[in-house]
Amino acid sequence: MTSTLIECNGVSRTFLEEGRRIEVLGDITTAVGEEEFVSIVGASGSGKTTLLRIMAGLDTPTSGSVTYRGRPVPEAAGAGKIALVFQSFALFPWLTVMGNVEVALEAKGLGPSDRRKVADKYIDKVGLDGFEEAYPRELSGGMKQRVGLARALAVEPELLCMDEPFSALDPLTAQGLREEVLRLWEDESIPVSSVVMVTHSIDEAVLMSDRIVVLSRRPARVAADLRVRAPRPRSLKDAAVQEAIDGVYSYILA
Amino acid sequence: MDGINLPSVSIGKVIGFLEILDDLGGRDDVFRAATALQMELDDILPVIEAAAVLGLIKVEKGDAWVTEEGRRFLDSDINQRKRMICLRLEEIGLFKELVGILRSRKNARISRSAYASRVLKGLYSRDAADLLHTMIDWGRYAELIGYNEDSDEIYLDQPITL
Repeated sequence: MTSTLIECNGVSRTFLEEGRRIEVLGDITTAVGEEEFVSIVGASGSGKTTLLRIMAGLDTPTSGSVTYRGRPVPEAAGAGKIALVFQSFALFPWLTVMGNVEVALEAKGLGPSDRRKVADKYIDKVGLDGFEEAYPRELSGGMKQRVGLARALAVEPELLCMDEPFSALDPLTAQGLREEVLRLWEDESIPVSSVVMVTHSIDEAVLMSDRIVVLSRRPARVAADLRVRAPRPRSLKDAAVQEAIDGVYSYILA
Repeated sequence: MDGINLPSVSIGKVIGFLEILDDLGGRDDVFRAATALQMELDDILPVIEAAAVLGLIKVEKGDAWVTEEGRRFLDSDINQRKRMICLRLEEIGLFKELVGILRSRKNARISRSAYASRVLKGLYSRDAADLLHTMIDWGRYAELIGYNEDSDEIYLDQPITL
């Protein structure tokens, strides 16, 4: 049994919209341990991204608590223990690839030569060597998301949160990048211990994850917490993978 | 490869296609692969062409299959993959010529427009721009050539020391 990284206890989140209260998250209790790849799935509008943003310290719950190794999440996020990869890449268009990665390290307080050294390492890890001086507009979607990944990894987080990281990519590029993200997660020289990924693709969740947390419709609760036992590397042709996919659908459609 | 052209496809797409083809058993009918991927034939054909130009797959009579080279590529880490693509690009006429031009120049640099007017003069400007975009994308991935948009110069990524 590994120890717990992040723990959500009775987390709810209500938004006020035009005077109406919208209860997005009902009562979420779940946890992510060390060395785990966990996906969060659920019908659209079920609050997957809201939950992820709360885990990453970008939003606070209306009630309930989220702790990271027993500490408040914003503190851990501030210390660089948690990093987030965005669906839309969220790159600075006026900065080069190197600049976009270094910017995260500047925020962490590293001096110029250390910044360059660490940025170089992660640019190399994600396969962006050769693209250091390219601007985002020169890059394909897949290369842009590699920059997003390099920027998140460069702060050397323990928990990597990813919000639909492949959904803005064409299916071929997404396929290639999924494999590479799994390799990065398994790479011993990268300090990321666990990954939490929000996705609307059940196939993707099953192909990549150790565990899948299925959210119910609004206000979201944990409808199911499923372990995927199929050996890696996985293929959609594997019977165990198809079985797991059917299992997830049965909870989403319930 | 004959003539001046490369399919306008990112390396990322080629890698994804190679993995999917491998997943389908390493060999499949191109039309069926397109259906499985829910892609139109005219979207997938340039990807297949690019994978073939890079020597990762072979195509014959409507079937595509992963070559030995492609298999090794799939089993390789990211930096080995880059080296494999680099070796391949060095055999493709367009890149061979570009590298030759760069080696012949001091600083191993040429402006993109000078290269285009020297080598790609037979192409419509739109086609030349697409081709250059692909060459720079592949060349950067392979770390064979670099490109600096601010100075508009293409250069040898690791210039040989004479």
